[in-house]
Amino acid sequence: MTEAQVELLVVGAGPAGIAAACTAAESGVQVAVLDDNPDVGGQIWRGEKRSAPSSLAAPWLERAAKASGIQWLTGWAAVGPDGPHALLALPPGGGQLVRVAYQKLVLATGARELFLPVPGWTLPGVFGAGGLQALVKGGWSVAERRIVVAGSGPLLLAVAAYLQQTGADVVLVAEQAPWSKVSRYAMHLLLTQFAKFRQGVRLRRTVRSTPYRVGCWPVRILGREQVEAVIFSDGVRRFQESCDLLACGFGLVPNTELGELLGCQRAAGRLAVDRWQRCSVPHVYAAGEVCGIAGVECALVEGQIAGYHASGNLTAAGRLCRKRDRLRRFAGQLHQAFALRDELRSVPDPHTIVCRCEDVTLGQVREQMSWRAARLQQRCGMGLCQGRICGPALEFLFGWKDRSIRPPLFPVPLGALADEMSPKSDLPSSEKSPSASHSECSTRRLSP
Amino acid sequence: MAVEAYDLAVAGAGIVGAACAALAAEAGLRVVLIEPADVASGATAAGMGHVLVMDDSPQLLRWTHFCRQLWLELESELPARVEFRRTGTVWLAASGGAMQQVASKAEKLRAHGVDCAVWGAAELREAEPALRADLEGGLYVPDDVVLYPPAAAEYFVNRARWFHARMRFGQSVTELLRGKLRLSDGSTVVAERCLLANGYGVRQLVPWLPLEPRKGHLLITARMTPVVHHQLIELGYHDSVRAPGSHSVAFNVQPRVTGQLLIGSSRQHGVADRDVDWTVVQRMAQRAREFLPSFADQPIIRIWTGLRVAAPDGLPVIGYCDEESRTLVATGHEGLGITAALGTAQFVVNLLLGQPTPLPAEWFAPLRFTGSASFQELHCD
Ligand SMILES: Cc1cc2nc3c(=O)[nH]c(=O)nc-3n(C[C@H](O)[C@H](O)[C@H](O)COP(=O)(O)OP(=O)(O)OC[C@H]3O[C@@H](n4cnc5c(N)ncnc54)[C@H](O)[C@@H]3O)c2cc1C
Ligand SMILES: Cc1cc2nc3c(=O)[nH]c(=O)nc-3n(C[C@H](O)[C@H](O)[C@H](O)COP(=O)(O)OP(=O)(O)OC[C@H]3O[C@@H](n4cnc5c(N)ncnc54)[C@H](O)[C@@H]3O)c2cc1C
Repeated sequence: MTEAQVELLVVGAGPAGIAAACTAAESGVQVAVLDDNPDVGGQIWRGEKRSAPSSLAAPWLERAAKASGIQWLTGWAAVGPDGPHALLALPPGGGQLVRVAYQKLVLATGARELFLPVPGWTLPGVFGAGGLQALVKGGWSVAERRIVVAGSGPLLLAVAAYLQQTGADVVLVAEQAPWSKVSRYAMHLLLTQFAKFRQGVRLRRTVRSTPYRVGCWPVRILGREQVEAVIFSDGVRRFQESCDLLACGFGLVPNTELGELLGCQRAAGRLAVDRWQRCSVPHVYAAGEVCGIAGVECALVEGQIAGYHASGNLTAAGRLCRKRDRLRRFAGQLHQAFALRDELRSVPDPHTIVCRCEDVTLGQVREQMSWRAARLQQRCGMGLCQGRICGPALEFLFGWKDRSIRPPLFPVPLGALADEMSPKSDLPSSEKSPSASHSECSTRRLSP
Repeated sequence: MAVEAYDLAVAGAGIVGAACAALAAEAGLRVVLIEPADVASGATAAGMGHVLVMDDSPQLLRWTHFCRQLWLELESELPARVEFRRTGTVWLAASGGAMQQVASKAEKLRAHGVDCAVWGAAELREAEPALRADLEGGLYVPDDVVLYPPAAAEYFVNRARWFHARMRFGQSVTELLRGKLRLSDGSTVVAERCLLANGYGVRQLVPWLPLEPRKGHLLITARMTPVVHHQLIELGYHDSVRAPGSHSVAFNVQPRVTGQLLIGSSRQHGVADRDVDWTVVQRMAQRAREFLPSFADQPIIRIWTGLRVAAPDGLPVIGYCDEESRTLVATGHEGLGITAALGTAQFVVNLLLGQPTPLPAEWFAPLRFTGSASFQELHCD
């Protein structure tokens, strides 16, 4: 174990983390940013073309590259807290754990996709919507493959458009929310957020030859060796759609695990924060999707509020609060529009696997009275992913909230836990610090 | 509404309370089992599930041997989910002179009729090739068992139900009254006798009992092809158990049916919080790597802690804790509560039925800590 110290530690290098780090660093605070991915940018900007980032991303990526006093620790995973003022982190490629002590902490850990169990969902060829997008961004070709995109939320259209542009044959986009809600939401966008409305229209136009069906959801995925077709229901009738791949996501779930290990309060599945993005634990802030799904712009604003407040610039932080509140209100509309329907709870049958790591079926889980009982008696959520996937699904299906979260947040090799503490080193200044090379290479990556 | 009256109210559905409820119900008593959380969600969920004979003291040796025997007799009745396996234990001679210790341990065990075999370096290597090469040998105890405690506790709860025991889940016992118990929802349960088998929670209801918490950490790996076949413990484990001071760590590894390895073990005397203490984890990981060098790359997926409950003399606390013989306790099993669950149940039921206990009742009697005159009179002739 090595020890390092920073004034402000940011976990997550997505839009929220970048914004927090930049604002704090520009105020003269010494900052380190940890992210388990090899690139900065988070879910949305990670794959941005270095040469031509989007208009929203470009200024921030540039700012991040310019800001001095930021250590970019990309490829580093925060595995758990060590007392109230330090995290243990696993550097890229294993090695020793590093104890990063901080005065203040910003949790910008983002969100992940919500998967709901559907009979047949463990067949090869079934992906998360964002997951498939990420694979394709990473170089996997889906050219000419017939793809069904299903689930819920605006992400579906974005994914469908992206896949279509890379040469896939998107045969259907199936949204579970009913037409009444989706159209009311579109109307709301048209009236209040014209840019967003236009973006939606643009996406729709990209996949204009593909039917966008609302009010229907997958009830069974068919295939022998791999997915061949999906059966949908609209509550009255069923229909079948053939495909080679299924991209299926039911929205996003905040990554609250690290906050929970720190003792931060959770409310409605997200970290609870005050006006200044402060969590219930002193010196800990949260910004972006980890405090509720509200999109990139909101993540950027919240990141700035946290960054300004953490560096003592209350005026600047205060100026952004109204904008944040507006964006959050807007997100509220989105949640209403794409709220998951009750029928989804009866999609899985008793034989449908819920916990994929340990092959636990819904029938087995249903015999239990609580999350803890399902874990103890059926091994549900005890596998490699530690319930990250089945946890949110069971929260939706049964209302079970108290998934027991324990460190490490990422699997850590026994040897990394065993390594002796080496002498104390300062992350940013020490040349020997394991971070120096990373900082360089990620800064290089950042510059356009 | 008629008030239901029970012969026995059991507080706590850990493995001890569950086993006691099952045996008492089977003996024909009207039993109610009270548990605020889930079955086996206390120490029973945190522990290792190694059923073994320990020879720390003559009493403990007789006790654990008796208790293990009850498990072995139950084997054929246990559902597969309990994962009952006679893996046996191998006590490892790690340091110079440890073979001497192996020999004297073997002698002690054999004198009590416990089957065991002394292994030299070659035999050890053959049985456990993953162990580091320079170990001198060890002591193999073939009839020690590994099982999965939460499933065993659930089995006992179901068995208690089968014999008409009632369940009051979601409630804890908050107060002991005459012939009654108060529950957290304000209701009362009328029972002739009550048994406090609520682990470390006993100290709230019987504050004068000198119970000490001992925090332990466990690490578990991801699934892999099974490479370790026995429960492996370094000899000197006893020393680590009794070592004074804040904490001690010993190599103690258990193969699970899933191919996972459960890695122990640590003891922090007097520590009752449940936080992961990374310096302790580090020492455990070092120890494990020392003994199993090829495991350095194995991913650890979860780390947790649990509380053992111990009395100052290292013996369990089982028996009546009041002079009217209404309230019993069953706790203080330290790191042996899984091993001792059935033995404890037998002990408790015999006390309830006024029959002789399998081992002298005064060994474990709670009243041994009061020095009360009537107790002396009763038990120490
Ligand atoms: C799968 C997916 C696909 C999406 N696709 C789109 C899209 O196409 N269009 C769109 O407009 N929006 C999309 N979004 C939403 C968009 O990503 C968010 O609005 C935005 O990224 C939120 O920013 P953030 O900074 O809060 O979180 P994120 O961008 O998610 O950043 C959080 C970062 O923290 C890291 N992290 C988390 N925990 C740890 C830890 N313990 N240690 C180290 N690092 C950690 C994560 O790896 C991640 O890089 C998508 C979101 C998801 C989850
Ligand atoms: C790290 C570790 C490793 C171990 N390894 C082993 C091993 O290998 N072999 C072995 O034999 N033993 C082992 N043990 C010890 C063993 O786990 C315990 O001795 C045993 O589980 C104790 O069981 P119990 O039923 O007495 O207590 P618990 O399992 O703690 O059960 C007590 C129950 O009482 C309930 N309760 C609490 N308060 C109240 C109340 N007021 N009213 C009603 N109910 C209440 C709790 O919710 C809980 O369910 C280990 C322990 C630890 C911590």
